[in-house]
Amino acid sequence: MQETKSIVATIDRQQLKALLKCYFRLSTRGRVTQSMSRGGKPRSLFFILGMYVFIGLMNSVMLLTIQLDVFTYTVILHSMTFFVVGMALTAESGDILFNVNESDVLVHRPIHSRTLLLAKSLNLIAFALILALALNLFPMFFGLAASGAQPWFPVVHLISLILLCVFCAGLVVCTYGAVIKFLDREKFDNFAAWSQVGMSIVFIGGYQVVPRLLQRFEGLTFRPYVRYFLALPPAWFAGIDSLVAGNLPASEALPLVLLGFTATASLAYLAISRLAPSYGEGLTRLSESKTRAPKTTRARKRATSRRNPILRWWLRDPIERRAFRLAAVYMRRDRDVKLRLYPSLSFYLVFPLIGLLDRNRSGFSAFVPLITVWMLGTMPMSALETLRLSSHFAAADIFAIAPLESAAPVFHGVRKATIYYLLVPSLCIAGILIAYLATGGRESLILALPGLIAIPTISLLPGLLDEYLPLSRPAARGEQSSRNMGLMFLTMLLMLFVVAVAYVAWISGVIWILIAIELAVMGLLHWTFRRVISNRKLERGE
Amino acid sequence: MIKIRQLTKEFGTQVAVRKIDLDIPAGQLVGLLGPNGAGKSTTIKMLTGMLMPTSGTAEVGGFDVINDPLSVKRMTGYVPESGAVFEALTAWEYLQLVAALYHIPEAEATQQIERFGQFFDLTTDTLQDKQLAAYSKGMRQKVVITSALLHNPEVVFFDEPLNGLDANAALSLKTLITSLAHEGKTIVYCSHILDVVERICERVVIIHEGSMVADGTVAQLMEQTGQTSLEHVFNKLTATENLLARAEEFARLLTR
Repeated sequence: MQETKSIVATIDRQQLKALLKCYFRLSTRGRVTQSMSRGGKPRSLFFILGMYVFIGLMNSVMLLTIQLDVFTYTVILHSMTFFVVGMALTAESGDILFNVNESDVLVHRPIHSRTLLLAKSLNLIAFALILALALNLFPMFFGLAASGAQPWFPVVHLISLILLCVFCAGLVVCTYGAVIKFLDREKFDNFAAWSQVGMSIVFIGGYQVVPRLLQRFEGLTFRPYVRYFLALPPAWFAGIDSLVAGNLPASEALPLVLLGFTATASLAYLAISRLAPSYGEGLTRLSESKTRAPKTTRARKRATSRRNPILRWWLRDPIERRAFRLAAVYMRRDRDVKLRLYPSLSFYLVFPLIGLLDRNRSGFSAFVPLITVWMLGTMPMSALETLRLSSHFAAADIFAIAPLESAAPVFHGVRKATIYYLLVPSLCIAGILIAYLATGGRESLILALPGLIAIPTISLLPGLLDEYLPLSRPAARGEQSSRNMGLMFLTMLLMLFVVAVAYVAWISGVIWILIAIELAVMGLLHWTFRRVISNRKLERGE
Repeated sequence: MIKIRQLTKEFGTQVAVRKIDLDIPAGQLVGLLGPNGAGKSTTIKMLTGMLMPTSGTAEVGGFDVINDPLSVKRMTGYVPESGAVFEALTAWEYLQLVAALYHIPEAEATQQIERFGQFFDLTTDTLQDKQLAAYSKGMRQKVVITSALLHNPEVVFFDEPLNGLDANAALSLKTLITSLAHEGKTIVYCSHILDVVERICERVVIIHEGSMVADGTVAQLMEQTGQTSLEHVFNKLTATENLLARAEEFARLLTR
């Protein structure tokens, strides 16, 4: 009790209010800059909210046509929300919690680290809640039609949603807090990115459990199996809905509800009481510049060996070569880029692995190479989008100052870096996995060819749709998560199309004809796209 | 007012600040000089509680920067070299935020902001209507300086405060700084513009490679080193070779 009082005493309400107001303005306004980057209203946030409202509507219509009970209905809803909110928080939290540029603005002000962390956590919760509300806007009311639903279901569901958002935000903040508490600054830079990847896998994995449970239980209700759901966080919050606004008996719902409340309260307490002081220290450590140990002879040798003849030929344009190097260095060294890039790539890691694990049960094997290659094929596109953003965006003015006619060589350099450092290793790993683990692996590798052929052309899309300059835009709230989610849905659409075409061609025995046609079409498209990108004159700022 | 003992900061293998001892009484205007990377900004960041020292102690106004950083922060103002602000806010919103962080009542803050606005020739319309991202560097610097002085701090750290300011604003600021020192404020002025430091600072401290290599009035330093200006004193204490000859040689290489 005494401790709780002292914690509350260190939270300055006036400062908290001022910081919340400030973060709200920063989140909703986007950024107007004098540099080459675009800014303005957070259009991407509006776009993603619209998308989630639509998905929520579709889901609720679909779920209600099969007449689910409240518990099953809300487990599915909370699982989706857990996934969406968790992924969004993972993508945005780096910018919110560890914004190095903010240190010169706030760190020398008399703000207790608890007040600062609470303000940022509430900011994260508010962001999560906006997304969750968009996704649940229709399901919240459609839930009244679920069997056993009480008239107050929407209100109860809103409360359980708030708790779920607090839980997700608490999980993210505590993960970072633990990382910053136990690791020094040098290790933090690397570990933070990997902890985000871990969190992404947890959120995606948590989401994937539900459809598999539906398959396993071979029914349309989870009610007889409530005890199995104790390990699934979304079910804890579904327990609240089912207890208060559904017809789940208290003896079954209470353990879930208690787990939900205990976990959420524990995370909140842990974040604010235990981890806040180390968060404050961590912030000061982040503003320290790091001294690297001089390169060893071996490292120098390795750097030299990178200049192998094939790479030298591929990067024969000097501007492309330097842009390639710039991207490589930022992917390896810059914390901001790492925090954005690698979690967004975890999406590509988890789904192919799930596909591989499912191979025996669902007879999915023929699709595994297709799905894997197609998903990995969009990886350069996703990485390129991520590499557009940087807190050093003003430095990208160098491209406007330099006598460049077009952004094309810069774009191609960065694109090649994403292919060389991210795609090629991933494809090699995927190839080995498919060939040796998937049922009927080697034969079905042919199915991967249409995807492989399309990759170079698809990787041109970011430069085709818009002028591409790396590290030239400041991150705006919701931009990263909306890009990730947007790309994810785009990937799924593309995948659906190619899976259908390639599979039909394969079973009809015309796969090689399809590949020949695709080669010709992609060759033509590639040439056209490159011409369009090269002919676009570089815009010289505002 | 400021008491530093054996203050040291290491970044990995590099020693940025090496065992500095310094006492600055209240009301003194001290120029902190040094070549790039000498450790000036690191020293200031430790004194403002932004960086934790590796070893040694520092007190500002009797408060320990390690054990009681919040009290230190309450009584100090800091103009960072970066000129960082929240760019999506208007200057008015930004300064109101800063005022709230120091618990200045809103009415008083409004009055203070308007007063600073008049001093720096920033109209209320400009302050309220434009986001800071749309400000010129000089205008933004005026806002940063205002944000450092808004709460009437006892100690002010200026790190290159004249960055981007036009000649008139620079002159006004220099006068303001000397007046504040006369009013009893302790001011640490960090700059590379030596003639300004020579004119306004009553005491000069020179840091080189993390260590303090000189401390005294400009006249004392000139006498100790046998030089005729602060620029020459600085050059003698911090340069390893003949800079003029090196510059001439380099220009010849460039134009060859």
